[in-house]
Amino acid sequence: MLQKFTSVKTTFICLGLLIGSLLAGVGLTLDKSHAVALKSLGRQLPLTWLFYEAAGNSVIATWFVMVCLVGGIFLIHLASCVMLRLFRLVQNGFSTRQFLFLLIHILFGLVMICHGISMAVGYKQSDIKMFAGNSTRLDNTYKLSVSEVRFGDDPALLKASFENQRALMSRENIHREKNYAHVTLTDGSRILSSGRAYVLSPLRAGSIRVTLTEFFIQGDSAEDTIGVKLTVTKNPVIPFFFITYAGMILSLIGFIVITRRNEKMPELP
Amino acid sequence: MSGLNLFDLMYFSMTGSLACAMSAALLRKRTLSVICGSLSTICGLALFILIICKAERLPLFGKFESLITIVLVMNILSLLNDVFIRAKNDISPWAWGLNLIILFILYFYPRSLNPDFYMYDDFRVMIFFHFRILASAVFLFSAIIFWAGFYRSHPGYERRAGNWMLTGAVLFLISEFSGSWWCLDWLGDSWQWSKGFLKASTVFLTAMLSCHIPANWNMSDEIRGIIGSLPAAGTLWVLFLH
Repeated sequence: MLQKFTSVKTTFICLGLLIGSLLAGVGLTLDKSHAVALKSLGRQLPLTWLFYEAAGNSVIATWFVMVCLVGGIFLIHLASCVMLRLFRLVQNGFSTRQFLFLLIHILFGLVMICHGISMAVGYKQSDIKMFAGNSTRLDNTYKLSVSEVRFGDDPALLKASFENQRALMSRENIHREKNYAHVTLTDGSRILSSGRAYVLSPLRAGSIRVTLTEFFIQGDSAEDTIGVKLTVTKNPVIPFFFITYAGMILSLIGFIVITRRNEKMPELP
Repeated sequence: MSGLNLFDLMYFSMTGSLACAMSAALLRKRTLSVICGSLSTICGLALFILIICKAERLPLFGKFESLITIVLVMNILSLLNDVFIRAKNDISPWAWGLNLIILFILYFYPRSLNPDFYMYDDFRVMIFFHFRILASAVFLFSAIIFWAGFYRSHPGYERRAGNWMLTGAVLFLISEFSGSWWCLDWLGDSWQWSKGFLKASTVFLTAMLSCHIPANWNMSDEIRGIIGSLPAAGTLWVLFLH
């Protein structure tokens, strides 16, 4: 039974199922209501969504649970393969190529685990619309305040339709360093972080990030009606995720180089 | 001469010399075929450099920028394979055939640069988009090796195709890594539950799928070829259908 579970055949089936479930997700987004539900899932921690909003769209909820289930089975299968097959392979005759082969699988498993943890641990609240002088309380713990919103480029650009924005928001028209929001994040009376958040340059306080996703304009084009959309996230596994991800790429590069150097090497299982 | 006219001139030179290379290959004039193929590659390289000079960035997005890069990379790889590495069997006629189809499709689209979105100057954005195009080209090259090898019974073609597919997977992973980093700083999270992310994940998974075909399954070469071509199809899907 265990031998069957750790076979390449099971890997193939698991991968096929995972591809199928992700493609089903792509298919579901063709329906507007499902696309909206999927967007809502992305705006917060998936676990929070599952508890509080999933009932609103049972199709997306079922699909999401299915993806997690297939991903979970695949992860268990991967862990079993690493422990029962790949470790033994290295033990039986160590070579750099075999070691890298093992390492790729371990690091891929770790990347998957990071994805899993990110779905359940931490905090995420997206699209918090704020103007200068606004404050909002997050999760009954943190308080987010915006003291200044500065958009140094032409405010008319913010009124363009989504389709036109790609063409209008060019490097010539938008200067990231001119546009920012001064944000303060507090925990009770303690200031966690205070400073300017720019697009692509969030304000950080440990594993908490206050990200300025976009500027928006309300009403007329007067300066004081320009607001910002902020996303607050707390993800403790982010550094670990990127390190393991980079490690996986490097080990895969090493594996390819060694494999190419000697094309006559025996096949790995 | 305006930039757009130069784009057209380079495009037609690239296509014309590639058509000559293909014709020479069909007439079994190998030297002439390689010369014309090299000429087409030089034109492609000139066009690639022209795009960089005009846009002040790498080719990133849209049919013109993406397809020219894909054709150029496949031309270079097939020439390297046939001329410099002196592989036992030629791949270039197959690559040139596919490239001609791509260039023919491109004829019906504007040969101009994309709107210069303000985030394109960020190195992560450049790596994300450009490496995705490179991955697509390498995945296509891998699929060509597979099908060319299969129809001409090249020895060890499956392994060579597999190696190139892994190279494509590395390029794709570098693109995704960079994209995740960009996404983290732009949208606050390294992953988004969106159509784009789901599609990109399937591309990597299809590459993994073709690396895990059970040896004891009596799968026909055609089915193996189709599975091996899935990453190429996937990246083209990700690049051109939104």
